[in-house]
Amino acid sequence: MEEQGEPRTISRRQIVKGLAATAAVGVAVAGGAYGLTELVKSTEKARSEPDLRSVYIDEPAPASDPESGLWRKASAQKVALVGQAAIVPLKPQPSVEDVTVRSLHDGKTIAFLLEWEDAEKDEHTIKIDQFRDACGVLLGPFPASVALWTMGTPDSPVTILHWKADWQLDIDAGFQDLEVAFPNVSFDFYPPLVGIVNPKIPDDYPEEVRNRLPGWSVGNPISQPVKTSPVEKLRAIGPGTLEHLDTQNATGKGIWKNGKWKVAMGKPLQATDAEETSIEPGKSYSLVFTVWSGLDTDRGSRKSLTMLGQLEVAAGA
Amino acid sequence: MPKVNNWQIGREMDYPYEESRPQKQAGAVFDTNKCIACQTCTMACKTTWTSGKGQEYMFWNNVESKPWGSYPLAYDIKILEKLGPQTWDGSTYTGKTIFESPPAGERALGFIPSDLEYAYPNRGEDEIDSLMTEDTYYLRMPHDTWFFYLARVCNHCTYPGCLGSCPRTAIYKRPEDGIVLVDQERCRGYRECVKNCPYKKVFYNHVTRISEKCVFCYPAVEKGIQPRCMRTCIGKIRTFGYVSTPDKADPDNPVDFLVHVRKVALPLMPQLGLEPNVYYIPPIHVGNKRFLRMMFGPGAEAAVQTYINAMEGNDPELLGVLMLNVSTDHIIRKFKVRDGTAFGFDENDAELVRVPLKEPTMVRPFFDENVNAYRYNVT
Repeated sequence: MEEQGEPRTISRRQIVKGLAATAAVGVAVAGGAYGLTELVKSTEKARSEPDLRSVYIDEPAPASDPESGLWRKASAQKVALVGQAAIVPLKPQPSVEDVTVRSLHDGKTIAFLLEWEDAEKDEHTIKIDQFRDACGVLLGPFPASVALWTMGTPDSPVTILHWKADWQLDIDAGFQDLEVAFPNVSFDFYPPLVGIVNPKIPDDYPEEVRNRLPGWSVGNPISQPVKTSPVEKLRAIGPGTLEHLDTQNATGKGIWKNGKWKVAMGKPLQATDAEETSIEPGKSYSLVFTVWSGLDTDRGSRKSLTMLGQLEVAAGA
Repeated sequence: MPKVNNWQIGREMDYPYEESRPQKQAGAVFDTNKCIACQTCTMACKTTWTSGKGQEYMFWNNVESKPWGSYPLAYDIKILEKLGPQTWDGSTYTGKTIFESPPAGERALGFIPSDLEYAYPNRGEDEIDSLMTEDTYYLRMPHDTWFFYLARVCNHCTYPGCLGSCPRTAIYKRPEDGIVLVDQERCRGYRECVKNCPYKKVFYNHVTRISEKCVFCYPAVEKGIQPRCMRTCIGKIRTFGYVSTPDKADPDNPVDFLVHVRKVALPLMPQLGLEPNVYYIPPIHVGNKRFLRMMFGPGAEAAVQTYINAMEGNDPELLGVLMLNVSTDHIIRKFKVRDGTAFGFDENDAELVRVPLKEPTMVRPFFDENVNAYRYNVT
């Protein structure tokens, strides 16, 4: 961990030491100023790791409705966010101090609600230096080695639900094409689209002309203009191993209001992919919440996250 | 951090991955003395590869003027300023590479340019290095005031900044020819590669929201055909080939001959530590030797002398190999200069092309009997 370069999972001893001092490990590596007084202050307001109960409700869990009244049935938990100090590139300080989380399930779908402060809504990734706001829920087997915290291990894959603000906007307002960032753009000819000035994506792009948009034509989920959900379902077996799962049945919705994001997301309890975590009522799972701030150019490992915690899924009716 | 051998800086250096060289390394030599900045290479590449929506600003191939031009704006000045003054001890680099001087928490030294910085690819074009203050200006060699053209593509580095920075190994180097590619299925648009390529030859696509780069026209290269930017070069400044490490240099291989035997072709900013594989013959008219050393390394002055020596007729072999530059659209793997002719061969020794070192001249009679008229010109 003291070296840059090859991503490594951090040792248990380092993580335990880190848990005890709450991100002191991150301080040592990054040389940041996350001193002890900051830690004491944060633990007065927020838990250091999530210990969340997913409450059973007899109605459809509001996985796509962050403003649903049903969320009152789940107890909110404020959890501290720390910088990411295990895998290079690091993010020594978190963008925001804490995230408030809740969970509900209805026996078929498990849903999460995340709320966190973000002064600026960042929902575009068109310009070269634009990064979007996002949040994620990591679920894995419990109990687990602390190595699970850094995106799972080969023996214990983790499932990640990843909500992205730019995917949300693509759904809410249509694909955010080039003209959104460059309203006066003018280009004479995009071969092979003869005669179409300022062609629109996806309407003017049948499949046979997508070869000049390689990300789209090879099926990269990041490049698909038509999004069916703002939440991507992924699995990981360690740092740098994130994979988009074959069945994309996670749902969600994020709303930004008055400097705060409120994001609901969920997935079916029953896994539909081989390496996906299946959720059974009455059991516990490893849990991490993560937040990315576009304003801070967060992406990938540049993130603010909770420590590894526990999700207790209430037994059904 | 693993240690790898970088012959261009004459020592081992830090790199996130172990040394692993491809079976052969695709590379090229550009003779800056012949470039006229016609931008045909730029047009060829753009038409072929970057004429899609989201790629408008991308020039996988660009030609910039030195000293005042750059694309994106000041990319080289910025990385050299971040690196700070560094030193060489002869041909050994005693300074730090970009992987040896990362800011805390980063893999390498780098920055992401803004869209605005890509918007002026011709800024500084044809601008001379200093004001012409004399009333009468005599052209002498080297020039008192100068500029030159620097054509650039991805260098398909042996130790790429982009590949070493991707946290999810979405960039790879092909084992068969060392061409560096961004996996369009695997990239998630983090832009760590854009940040850490000091040459700024990985580009973020506005519409697909992932990154892409020069592919060295690998579909053509696989068939033994030179990349489009090379084939279409009007000035015949370019030659595409496979470059070996110094210990395996083959004097019959045009690129090896230029890089290792004559040492007239030099890497671009070798001090950055990436072992780039596009080599440059430095401009012989530039009087500022320090500038040339900064751009091409400590071998710059000697390379200029070697080239001048060939211009003066003392090195037919060097002249011959340069005459072969894109004289054929096939990749020349071997060459021979004999009796005033340069021959290019493929890997099976089949002759691809022959070029005379001196263009033959014919003078026709003034009166053409066939049409019973005097010729307007005779040569």
